[in-house]
Formats: sequence, structure tokens, C-alpha cells
Amino acid sequence: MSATKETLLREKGFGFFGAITASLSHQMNNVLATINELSGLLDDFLLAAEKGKPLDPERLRKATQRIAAQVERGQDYIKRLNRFAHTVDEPTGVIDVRDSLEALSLLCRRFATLKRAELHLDLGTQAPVLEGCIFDFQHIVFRGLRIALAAAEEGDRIEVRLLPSADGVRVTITGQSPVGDIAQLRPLVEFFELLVAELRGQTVVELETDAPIALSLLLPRRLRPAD
Amino acid sequence: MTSRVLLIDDEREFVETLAERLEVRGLMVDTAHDGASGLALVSEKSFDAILLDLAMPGMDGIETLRRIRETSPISQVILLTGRATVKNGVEAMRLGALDVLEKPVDIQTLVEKIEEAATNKMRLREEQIASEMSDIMKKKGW
Repeated sequence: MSATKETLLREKGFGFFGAITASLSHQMNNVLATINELSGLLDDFLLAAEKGKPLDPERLRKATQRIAAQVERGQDYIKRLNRFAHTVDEPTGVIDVRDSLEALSLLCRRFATLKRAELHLDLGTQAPVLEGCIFDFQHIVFRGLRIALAAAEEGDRIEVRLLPSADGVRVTITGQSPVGDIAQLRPLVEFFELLVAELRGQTVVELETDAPIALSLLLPRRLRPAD
Repeated sequence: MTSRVLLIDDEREFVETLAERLEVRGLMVDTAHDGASGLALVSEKSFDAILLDLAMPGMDGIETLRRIRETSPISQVILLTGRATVKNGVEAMRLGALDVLEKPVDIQTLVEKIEEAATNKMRLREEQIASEMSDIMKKKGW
């Protein structure tokens, strides 16, 4: 592999890691900011009580329940972050494809929300497995999702489908709105194709003006870098 | 006079709780959960301060700030963000934001900023009225 290609793959891998951890830490900060306001609200009730205003147990109870709900939300984000952090533990292992796609979909939900688009998974009934690094698998699908999100308009539904394949795993990602600016998407598509080829996969990307984006990805049972 | 504040943030629980706390402190508060709804309120009512989240679905905080300033140039906008980068800060100030504050935000600091915003807005409005009066007098040849 050329030094340039190796550097690009490494930087983009870090970029994926950074994007996910930044997104989750942003969401965690929102949880903490909300808990900060709710605990401040309890302080406000106490201050008012010290000045003679009776405490309203129902308002107190609601505030504490709202804090508990935020803690639960925060725990959920932490679990996702922790799980994602551990995807790099093993350079090779068993990848439960359905499970990994569901986990990735949760990680990418905020990116879709920011574009006011919706991610929809159709994982079928089979439970295929791959051999390789979960991080590599999720990185490839993330790059495909990134292309679809870049092409998405407000209200779009992005479909991620897991299809049966005798040769490994086939994942398709389709957008809804016609593609506008192809020039903007080309660098994303080029890197996606490079990444797939690096793990001996195959991909077909339908990228035409005025037609929805469609990516088809076929990954071999054993994900390993090309020689 | 009671200050009127607009909160624009997609985190509903955060907005509703902060609104409640500001109302306890004697402020009148309106809320919106995205840039477009916030802009609609800005065109209907006059606000002494607008607290605006940076990262929102659809129109983000920077674009919302740009449009608020186009609609109402004397609007006093305070950006709230989970991560105040130099880039965000510079862009926000260039577009005329009063300040950029990081979440979680201290309520006392926020109230003082809102008071500063209200004072600024009043001064700018007085300057605006004085300018309009001067134009009228010139046209009338007085």
C-alpha cells in the first residue's frame, strides 16, 4: 500500500472515530445541561420556600422525575459510546452484522436528525456473521451513510437493507431525493470505494443528477486488508 | 420594565426548564425548538434578548442568527453552545451576536447577559428613533 493511501485510510479512520465520539459527547453535554437546569429549578423552589412560599410536592416530584429521565438518557449515550470504543479491541473477531448495523444506526441517528432525515433499517430475517474488525465494518457502512446523508433533503428516508448473499454480506443504502450537487459527493464516493476495495469488498454506487443515491456493498465473509 | 426573552433550542426539556427558571426571575419568556419557528416569533414580537442554540436540526444557529439580524438588525442574540470553538465564536461575533456562552450555563451569568442585552437594545432603539426623527425633520425642512 502506498504511504499516501495508508495515511488517508488512517486519517479517515480517526475521522470516523472522532465524528462518533464528538456526536455522543455533544449529546451527553445536552443531558448534563438539562440536569443542571433541573437541579437549579429545585434550588429555586427551596429559595422560594425559605422566603415563605410553600413547597409544592407535585412540582418537586415532577422535577425529580425529569432528572431521573435525563440520567437514563445519559446512561444510554454512555453505553453506546462505550460499546463503540470497544469496537477496536480485537483486530479480528466475529462480527454479528445485524447487531453492528443496529448499533451503528443508533450512533448515526443524530447526524440524520440534524439533516431532518430518517434512517430506516431493514435487516431481514437472516443473521449473517463476518470475520474481521467490527470498527472496520462500521466504518465502511458509516461512509456509505455519510454519502446518503450528504445527498439527503429535509424529510428524506434513508433505507439501509441487509440482503442475503452466498458470498458474504450485501448491504444497500438508498436515498430518496434526487441528487443535486454531484461534485460535492464525488470525493465521498471515491473514498468509500477505496475503503471497500481495501477490505476486498465490491461496491456499486449509482450517482446521477436528478436520481436518488443508491449504494450497494458486498463484503466477503473474511474482512482483511488487501495485500 | 420586564424583559422579554426568546429561547431557541431543539432540546425541549432544557428549554422548558430554563424558561421556567427565567420566569421565576421575573422575565417573560417565549420558546421555539428550531430556527424557522424562532424566526417566525422574531417577526411577530419584539424581544430584548434571544438565546440561540448553535447545533439544531435544519437551520443551524449561525444561519438562524444571520437571518434574525437581517430581519431585526438591533436584535440582541446570545449563542448557547456545548462547545464554544474559536471558529464558532468568531463567526457569531462577526454576524453580530452579543456573546457566546457554553452549556451548562450559570443562571446568574445568563440573567446578567440578558440585562446587558436589554440595555443595548433600548439604546439602539433610541438611536434608531432619533435617526428617523432627524430624517423626517430634514424632509420637512424644519
